[in-house]
Amino acid sequence: MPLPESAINAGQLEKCPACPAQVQAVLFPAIFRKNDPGKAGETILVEGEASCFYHPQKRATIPCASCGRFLCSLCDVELNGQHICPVCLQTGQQKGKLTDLEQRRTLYDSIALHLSFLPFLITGPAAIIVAIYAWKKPLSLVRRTRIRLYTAIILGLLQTVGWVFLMIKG
Amino acid sequence: MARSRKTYRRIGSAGFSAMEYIRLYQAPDHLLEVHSSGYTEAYRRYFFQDIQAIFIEKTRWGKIANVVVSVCGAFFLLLALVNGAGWVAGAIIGGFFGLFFLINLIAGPACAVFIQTAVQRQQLRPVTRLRTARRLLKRITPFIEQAQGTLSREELLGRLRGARLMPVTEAPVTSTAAPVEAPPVIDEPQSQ
Repeated sequence: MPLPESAINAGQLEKCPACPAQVQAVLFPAIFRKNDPGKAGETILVEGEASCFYHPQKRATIPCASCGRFLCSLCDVELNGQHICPVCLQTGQQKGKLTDLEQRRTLYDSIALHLSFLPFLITGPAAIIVAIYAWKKPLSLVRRTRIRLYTAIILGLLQTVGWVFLMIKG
Repeated sequence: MARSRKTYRRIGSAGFSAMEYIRLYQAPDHLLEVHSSGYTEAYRRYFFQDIQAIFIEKTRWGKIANVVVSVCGAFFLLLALVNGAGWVAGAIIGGFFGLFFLINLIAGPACAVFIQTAVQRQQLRPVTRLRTARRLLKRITPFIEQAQGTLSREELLGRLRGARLMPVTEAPVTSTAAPVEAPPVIDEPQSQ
């Protein structure tokens, strides 16, 4: 059952005709956009034409912005206004160079910080090791300061010194 | 190939599920939903140019929470009044429920927000209040319009009516692809 028109882009909640819920819908022009069927790439007709690196029978249309290889329409992947080849796309995703394709990150700074809070013999040095290991690793996408790493190293050092002091005294 | 750093602005409060908490951020060209378990983060992006619709559904969870919390608070306050010895503990617990009741009341009606793109419809868990949902809409609508262009309400409804009247086209039955040849038959070696 479709939503009543009074609930669409009207800025107010309306009763759903199918259930007791009150709903509001905001539609945008993309709802009418048809999906691009994709391009297959044109076959080379004239001898001497530049061909695609991956498909020698297909005509090259654009070079890859990353590796410079010629690409046909089929191999051309557009990402953030750049045209790159599938191999560069895969490599960029694996190496974490394409931030927009990243789906998961490990928060080594949080691991190091939490280790530094634990009062065990090995957690101080472990926190320092994890913090050093994570120094060049990407942090959270939304939290960009290294304050956790600094804190982990300081607390880890203090904890290690404390344990050494206790062992010498004991 | 690396992109310039983006500024993410937090929207709404955190939502929760079984083992993670979820936050919502706004970037110049997309919304970012961050599912965090404490040691890992998973990201889900909704690009402004792909957002087809946003649905807001008012829910009863705010009212239910208020009823539960007020009953619990009243129970402990009553216990504090009846029981002379433990009245301090009863008052503190009752006061805690009272505070939660007030916070819930001030936060306003609860809602669920869904975002639709061409391939998915997902609930934005961090947005649980009607006020936050309207603030989110107010904030991201200019970005979506900038990415997709604008349609007046009348234009949009007209096109929607047209789309609803349009008959659903059937998928083509015949395929234009060349028929696949059968794999060659491999003769089994004769056992000697």
